[in-house]
Amino acid sequence: MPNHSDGELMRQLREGRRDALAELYDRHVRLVYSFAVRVAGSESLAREIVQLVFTRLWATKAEYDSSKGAYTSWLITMTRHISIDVLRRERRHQAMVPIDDINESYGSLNSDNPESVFIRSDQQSVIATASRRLSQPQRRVIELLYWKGYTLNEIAEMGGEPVGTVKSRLHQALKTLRRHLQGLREES
Amino acid sequence: MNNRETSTCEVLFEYLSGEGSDMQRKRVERHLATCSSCKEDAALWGEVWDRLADDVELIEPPADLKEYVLGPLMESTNDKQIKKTSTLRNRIYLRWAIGTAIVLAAFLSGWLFRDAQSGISGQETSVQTPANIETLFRLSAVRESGKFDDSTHAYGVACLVRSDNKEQFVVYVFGSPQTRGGEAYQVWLLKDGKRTSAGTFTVGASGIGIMTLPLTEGISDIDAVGVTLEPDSHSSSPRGPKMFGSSQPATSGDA
Repeated sequence: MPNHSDGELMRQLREGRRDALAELYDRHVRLVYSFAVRVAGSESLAREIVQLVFTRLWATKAEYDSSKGAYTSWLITMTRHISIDVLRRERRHQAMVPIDDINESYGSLNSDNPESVFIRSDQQSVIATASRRLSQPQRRVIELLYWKGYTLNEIAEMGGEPVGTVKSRLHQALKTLRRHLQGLREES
Repeated sequence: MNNRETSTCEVLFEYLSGEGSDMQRKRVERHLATCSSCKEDAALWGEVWDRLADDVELIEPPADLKEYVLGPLMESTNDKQIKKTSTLRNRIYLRWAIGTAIVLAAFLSGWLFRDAQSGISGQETSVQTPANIETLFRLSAVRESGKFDDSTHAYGVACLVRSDNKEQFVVYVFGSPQTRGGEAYQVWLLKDGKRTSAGTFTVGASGIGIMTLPLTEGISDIDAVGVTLEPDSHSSSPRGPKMFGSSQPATSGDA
């Protein structure tokens, strides 16, 4: 079904068309899996997340509204929610991971990992370029909030600082990212 | 700007990141309509938040992942299962039960065997599915609780899952309100009017929650299953509102 839009495939999915599910899988599994690995940091959890995402697409006939944005954005939002849920479940079964370990884990994901089959893009992504403009504390709040699913209060507790400080840092980080994203867009 | 408005401004980022109770969220939404500063910050968030996902290095998924993910979904509506579940009282319930079994089969094939599969990256792995799913209960959302105003599709399932050498009682809910603070959903089993706790679980922003209870000595027949939302995970009897209640057991079915 090479000519069908994602929205059309979702409509077919709601009619119980398993070939539509297979087509959506083929189109988007690389993104979903990569995102899941980025969040969960392990292949086994990423597999579970991918399975939950496509099971949810199939079993709940989740409704996608194309007027509200791109399909990949919608799919990634769902993938993030499921990933964070899985990650929080794992955290409940483990002792709280010290902040230093989280930073090490993040670092290892971005370095060469012999067990991963990274296909590195020749061009650094725009967001990665913009992220380099952030301070280490700003990067950490984005990492913990967006990628690891910690709440603002949890991040404040981990850092031993007021939640207002964390929010202020987040605010500055978002402003810096927007400024550089706009600048990069204008340059391209 | 009065104090109340100021305090609402202060929780904007909690709102944007999906935190806060339903009441708080509605308060922020009303506030957003009138506060230009918060509108600006919400726009800033909107411009940047979704772009963060771009910071993903694309990885080629393992070759066996497609079968792992889609295999149970493609196979679980086979003739055998339809025949086994055809004793259900009506077709609506039949469709629901099959869908639920699909969810569970898919989910548990990863859940139960994840440990066995971890650490064998790069090797051949085979897809394993649970041997069977028994005592399927549909869990309907108790809308009288007032907790499902924003969720029209909340539902759940409770069942007994047997695999080669494991037996687990599993409860799985969709579209349920996120737990806050120390809150926990608690599962109660009812038999002959006697209620016992089967365990607790929490629900995240996605509305999905799961509880698994490994069984060593099996589990006796259950008349009903209920799920309450408790202020903490230490309740010996329900203190919070009932969120889900079961219908009668539907059937047994291979998954």
